[in-house]
Amino acid sequence: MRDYLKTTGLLVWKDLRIESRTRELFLVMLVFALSILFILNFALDRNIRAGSESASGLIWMIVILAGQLGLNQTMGIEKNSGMLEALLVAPAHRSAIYLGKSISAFLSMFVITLIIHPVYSVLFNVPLRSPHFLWISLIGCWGYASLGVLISTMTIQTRTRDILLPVLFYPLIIPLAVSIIQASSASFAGEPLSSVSGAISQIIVFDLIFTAAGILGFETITED
Amino acid sequence: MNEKTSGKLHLIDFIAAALVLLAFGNIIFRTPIERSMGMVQKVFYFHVACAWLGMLSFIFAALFSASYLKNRQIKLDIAAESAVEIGLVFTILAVLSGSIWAKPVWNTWWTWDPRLTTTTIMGFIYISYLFLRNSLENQDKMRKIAAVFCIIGGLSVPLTYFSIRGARSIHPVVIGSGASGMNMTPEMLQAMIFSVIAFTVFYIAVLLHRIELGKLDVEIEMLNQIWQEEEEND
Repeated sequence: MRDYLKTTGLLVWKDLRIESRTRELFLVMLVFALSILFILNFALDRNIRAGSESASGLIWMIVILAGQLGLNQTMGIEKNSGMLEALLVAPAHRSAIYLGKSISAFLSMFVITLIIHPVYSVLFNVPLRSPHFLWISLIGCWGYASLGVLISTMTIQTRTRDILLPVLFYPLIIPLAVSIIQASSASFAGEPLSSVSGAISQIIVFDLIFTAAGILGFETITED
Repeated sequence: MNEKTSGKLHLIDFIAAALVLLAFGNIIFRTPIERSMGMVQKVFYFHVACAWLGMLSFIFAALFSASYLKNRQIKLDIAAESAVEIGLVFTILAVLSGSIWAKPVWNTWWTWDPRLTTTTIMGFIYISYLFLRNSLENQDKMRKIAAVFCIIGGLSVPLTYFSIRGARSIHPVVIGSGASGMNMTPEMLQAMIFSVIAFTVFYIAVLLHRIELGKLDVEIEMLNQIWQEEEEND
């Protein structure tokens, strides 16, 4: 078990070091997310009411779109440099590789969420103070990353990898998106978390099901 | 395909054709015309059958995929692909027939009802399953990845339904009673059940044919490989 956790930790550390040196992923995701935020301003025609009422949906839409860039890159860097094969032949449990990659994808997505949330609040002049948003983002981003890494591992092995990822991934995360948006809306409205316990439970169930599916399925989709 | 299998398939074809014709006759001539909806209500008998078969087919596909991952038999992968293809046709027919019914009854082609939305999202998931299969070149790898995706898709469908079921629904409840129940006459109920049975037999016939076609495809692929190897050796 200790070796398993060590392998997972080392993989996360490796991804963080690559990112700190190349800055290929995080900055691209951030600039992309900010660009969508500016486009939204014009799409909403500076309608403050719409920006306020739909804040939760719009923030998550931006994060979901930006997160897809992260997913492409998380597995893509391994595939491009032929490192995926090296990782797979390494004496490490495949599910540890999956967990390591999921944690890396989760971290970039979670940090983007934490940045976009206050920036949206400032740019649209909407007070979105909520202590619960952090917890909702934590479980929401994990669900996104756990399923996203599994699907992106499938798509990087195809001919049309970057095009196929959103087509495969977005219909599958609709239940997660619906629940996160519901829970975030309630938290922005100052309602207690107990009022959206159904949505929170659904996010947790989603996380558990697809983390388990990833741990069990990663070996099958990567074996030769 | 050997003669015994071919004979069995012909028998199922004959039974399916007879049942579907009987179901059509029953719906057109025997069922009463609904007082408020009129003739368009008769779409309902086909709509329910298509929606049921779409759902059933995707459950079959997930089961075949899980069996493939356990036993690694190519015929199970062919069965999963066949079930997805046919299930997609029935799902699209269910959404289209529902729209044809909804326009005069609900005064709209589309509404964001949980059942409509879930059925359509289910269609998207399984269309992408076919995209995934087509874009993988290594056949062995394709079968394993497609099987895992099919199971994931099967897990996602009930989650989608539960996540959006809180939304306001105007879809009639077919099974069950109460304010939103269909209040069908006995003739209507019999026609619906008969239509579902007839179309299920038709579905099984089409599925068996599609599986046989898939097996022939694999055979052709293998013969092609042998032929190419022999050409190279010569």
